[in-house]
Amino acid sequence: MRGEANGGEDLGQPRGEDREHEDEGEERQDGSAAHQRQPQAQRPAARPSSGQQPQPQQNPTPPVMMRNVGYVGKHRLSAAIARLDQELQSLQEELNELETMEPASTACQDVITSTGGKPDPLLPITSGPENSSWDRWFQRVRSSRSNKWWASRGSDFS
Amino acid sequence: MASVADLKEKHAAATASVNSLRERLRQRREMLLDTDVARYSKVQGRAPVSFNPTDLVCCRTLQGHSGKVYSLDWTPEKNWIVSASQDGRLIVWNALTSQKTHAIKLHCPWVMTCAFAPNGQSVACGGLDSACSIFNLNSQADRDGNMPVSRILTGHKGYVSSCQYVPDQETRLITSSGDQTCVLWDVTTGQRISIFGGEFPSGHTADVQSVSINSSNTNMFVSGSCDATVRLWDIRIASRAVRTYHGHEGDVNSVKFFPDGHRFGTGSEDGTCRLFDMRTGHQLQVYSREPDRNDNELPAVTSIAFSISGRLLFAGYSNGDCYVWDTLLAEVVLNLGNLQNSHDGRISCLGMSSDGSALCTGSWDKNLKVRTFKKRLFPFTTS
Repeated sequence: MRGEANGGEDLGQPRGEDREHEDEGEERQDGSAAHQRQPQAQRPAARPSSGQQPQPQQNPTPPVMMRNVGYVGKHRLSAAIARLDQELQSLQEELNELETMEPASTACQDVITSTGGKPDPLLPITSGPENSSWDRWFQRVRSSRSNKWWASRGSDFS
Repeated sequence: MASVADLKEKHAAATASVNSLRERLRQRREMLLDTDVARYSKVQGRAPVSFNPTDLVCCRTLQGHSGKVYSLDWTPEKNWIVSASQDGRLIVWNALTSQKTHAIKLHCPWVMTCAFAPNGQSVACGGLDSACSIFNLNSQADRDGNMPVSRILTGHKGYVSSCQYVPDQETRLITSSGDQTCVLWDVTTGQRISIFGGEFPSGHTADVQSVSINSSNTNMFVSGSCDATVRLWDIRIASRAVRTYHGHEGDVNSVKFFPDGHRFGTGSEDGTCRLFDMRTGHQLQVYSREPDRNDNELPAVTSIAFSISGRLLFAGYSNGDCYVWDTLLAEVVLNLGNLQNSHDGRISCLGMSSDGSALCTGSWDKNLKVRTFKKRLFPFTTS
């Protein structure tokens, strides 16, 4: 499963995104190139920019980046710690909220009440007045492209 | 600056604290889940909705795409539908007459999503080009019969998975993206008004797949992501998500607000749909199918929609099923994928007409189908 399985950042295991391997200042041009990797005929079932396979640790980085590994490491670590601290804060706020929060049953009652509110054309039995326009799907419509009545090909009735 | 070793230690400690707090939060939330919608409804003596197999008839099959249908959207007013397909085209249909009013060949054929503007005059689409293209349906086609793009919204650094116009605002649109962000756009200028997530904390940590704007309060929208969470955003406050909803165990493929505007539904790769309470964050119900006899992995939920009262939850699955869930009793009351005249493939998208009288489904079988409740009045009244 992608994303935050355990806590905030998982720095040891890049999440399969090209931008993890770029220097901080670099534009994410590679990001869009990654999308073309997908078999062109299909919508990406495995999302283009976050594959499940971890990228190999030994990336063929150009020599100039090797010198910066220490700096990039510290920079990224500090940023990750800052994000974790903010998340801690927001989790604490949420915990405080829960102290005085009403249980789920209150919302369940609201859900039940609200479904009785509107007339629903797709229900066998529905509250409120039925609207004759709901049946427009059954009216014969003269096609403007021919003199024939609209044909019901592909429908359940003729 | 501290040494790498110190920072790593700090990072490990912070991670442990976050994990511990998350676990406390999870337990505290569990204590507040004194019931779910189904148990509560049963206690009240509610009976499930009862359908005959022939009640929801297929009244239109819209044929014309030469590839899988990936996305569809209805107009708010007329009976028009726009659909996007693997064939690299958008088609605008008059669903009442089944006629195609526009067939738009896209510059980038890898389209994933489409949407109608509130006034029905424009359509938007997006996909692997990482951009959202806007077409004015009143434009003249050029000499080759191609419709000109009226605006391209660029800025995303990943594919555009979903787009929706802000209700009653022709000029604003929200997109979700594989770059882990959502963006609010001004369509007239092409500018990004706000970016939700990304550099800021409390954004999604994986691709965002779906958005849904609250029609009762258009300042609020929810986004569903491959990080298995849904986040609630206030468009006036891009810096942090209002709330994060946990529960799903896989990518959240589809999110839709419940008609009352205080809850929302979700559909996921984990095979379940869920109903969350927006304000409290409670998971009010899980809609979970029976595992099959061979104990295979559950088919993923690709797309969901509520009926206009919210009593029915429609869910399309990767195996071609289209379950109609009784939202209150959490029971499947019909499977539209198992009827005469069903799709022959995965249901990739579905949408409700604005008056709630018809459900349209789009499929990898290249067709769209419109279903409505069987006629209530005398049949074939001539118009």
